[in-house]
Amino acid sequence: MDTFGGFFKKLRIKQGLTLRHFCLENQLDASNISKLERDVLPPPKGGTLDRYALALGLKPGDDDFYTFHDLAATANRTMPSYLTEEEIEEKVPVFFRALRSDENKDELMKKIKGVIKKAWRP
Amino acid sequence: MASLDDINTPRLSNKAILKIADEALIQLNPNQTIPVPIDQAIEIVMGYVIIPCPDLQSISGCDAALAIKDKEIYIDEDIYMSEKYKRYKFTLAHELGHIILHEDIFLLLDSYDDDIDFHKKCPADALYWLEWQA
Repeated sequence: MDTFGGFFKKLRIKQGLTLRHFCLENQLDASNISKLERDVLPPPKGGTLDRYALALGLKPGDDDFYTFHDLAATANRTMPSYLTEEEIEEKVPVFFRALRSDENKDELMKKIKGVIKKAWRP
Repeated sequence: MASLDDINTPRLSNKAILKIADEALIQLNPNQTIPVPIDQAIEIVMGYVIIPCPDLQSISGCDAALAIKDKEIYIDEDIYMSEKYKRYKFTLAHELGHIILHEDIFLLLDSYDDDIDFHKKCPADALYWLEWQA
């Protein structure tokens, strides 16, 4: 069974649009839409939800239109996905930027980890 | 099972890298579209999740970071959404290069501690090779 975010992403991909393209075309905030698709943020309500439905090519009367709204209503009654500290620890981002000689690797990793943690928080 | 101490950075020639890149392009861009739709290849063909992160670059100095086990690429949001499409394409293509060329190495890194360890143990020239090849 799809989550709201999973269904959102499926509809976007069905249109052949990458996240970047979809957001540029519809003037949407990419990090918010990414959080929505990963179920980190709860679905919006009212006009914003309708705007997203339109952007995803849904029309009132279509099965997908009702599924989209049903999943949004269900998601708003449940807790958004929330990764534990342990789950975030397991993400292990790899980067190979050349380090400055005075730079502390542990400190740099802590900074990257902080940014990634934010990407998994509402 | 291999450990961090066994990590051996490959030294690939230009010719070898070009051959690998050509083979990857055939799989990822079968219609040979120009410019190569790199984000489509990564997100839609390979199934990676691209996660735009506000301020990643300004906070860490990194344009992007790769979490290979979760098939996620964290990318600075301004770069990802930049009108200057060459920059976001280059950033994503570089991460794709790491995925194709260095997946075996990255899969050995199990935790943040491993990652830090790797950076500490890996000689500067080996890190340079990894970057240059991607």
